Amino acid sequence: MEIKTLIDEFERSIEGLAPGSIAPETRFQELEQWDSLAVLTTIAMVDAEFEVELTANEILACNTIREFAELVEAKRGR
Amino acid sequence: MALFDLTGKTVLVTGATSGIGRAVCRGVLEAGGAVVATGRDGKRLDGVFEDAVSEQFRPVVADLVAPAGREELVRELPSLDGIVHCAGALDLAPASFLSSKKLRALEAINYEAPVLLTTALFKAGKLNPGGSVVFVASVTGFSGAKGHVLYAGSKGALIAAGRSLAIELASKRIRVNSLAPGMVRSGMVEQAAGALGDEAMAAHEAEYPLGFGEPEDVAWPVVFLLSDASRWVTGTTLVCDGGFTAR
Ligand SMILES: NC(=O)c1ccc[n+]([C@@H]2O[C@H](COP(=O)([O-])OP(=O)(O)OC[C@H]3O[C@@H](n4cnc5c(N)ncnc54)[C@H](OP(=O)(O)O)[C@@H]3O)[C@@H](O)[C@H]2O)c1
Repeated sequence: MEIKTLIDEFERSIEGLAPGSIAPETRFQELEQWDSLAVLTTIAMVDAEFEVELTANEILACNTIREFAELVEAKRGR
Repeated sequence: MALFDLTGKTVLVTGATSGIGRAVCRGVLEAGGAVVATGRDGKRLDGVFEDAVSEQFRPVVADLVAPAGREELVRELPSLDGIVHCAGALDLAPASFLSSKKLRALEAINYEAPVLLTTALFKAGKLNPGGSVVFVASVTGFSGAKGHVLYAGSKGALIAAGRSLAIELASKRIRVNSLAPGMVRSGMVEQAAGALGDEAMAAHEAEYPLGFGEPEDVAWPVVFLLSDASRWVTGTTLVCDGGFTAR
């Protein structure tokens, strides 16, 4: 999976994110749009688009989008 | 206190392996009643009640979602004085990721199973006059929460169906009520924590004047609704939420 693919899906699914606003080093939990619904949306998005099941705590343990992408990639490999 | 006693009454408890279902079984037994307890997995069911199996307690494996499973259960059951529908499922998802498949799956266990099992038992003459039916719904059945669209819809439907059933079954003196719990520490709270994270759960608990509940906190109000102490209570919803929706 290209990190770009994940970023595109992330920007598309989280309410209020502009296309191109997210980079691999973005600390996504510091975004103004990041709240409990964004967590739920991220879980639903990776399940629907990448067939990966994550818990909120796993996502919240990631600092940057790159770390999040590595998590998704690692789970996909399994 | 004899009115609160369940001696001589037989109560069906679905989802007996759940945190709430299990506490309800124990509450009914403690109040002197007999329990028929259902779960999908016989091993899990036996494991949960290792110490409770007695003449007063009968576990039955049943698939409540399949119409054939319900028919088989209805055939197998004795005449009942009460039913407590605890089997249920939660699927938290944002509005942009809902599907007809997810909606139907939740509706099947949270709405269709309790309603159609009740009506099938009624039709088969297995609900005794003076009986009491309790639907375990949820505060989301009438108060909104993010990510709860499908779950709330299924529980709201259950509450509404319960009111009309109460009207229709009143001539047989069968009462139908719903119980609306807020967050109760059980399997479902763990599931919610998985979807929301520990921090969000702690923040949510802070909104509960009495904190999150324990399964027993819901079980005793259910025993009241099953007992003759509530004989004039029907078609209503008892909110058990530590004050969450009072705010
Ligand atoms: N905990 C809460 O915070 C809370 C709040 C409001 C309302 N409630 C309601 O209270 C009830 C019990 O909740 P809980 O938290 O104690 O539940 P839980 O621990 O998550 O257990 C769910 C129960 O439902 C049964 N079940 C699930 N899907 C089923 C299916 N397709 N067919 C038959 N049985 C099925 C399970 O039986 P198996 O052993 O067969 O899997 C299990 O006994 C539910 O209706 C829930 O919606 C809970």
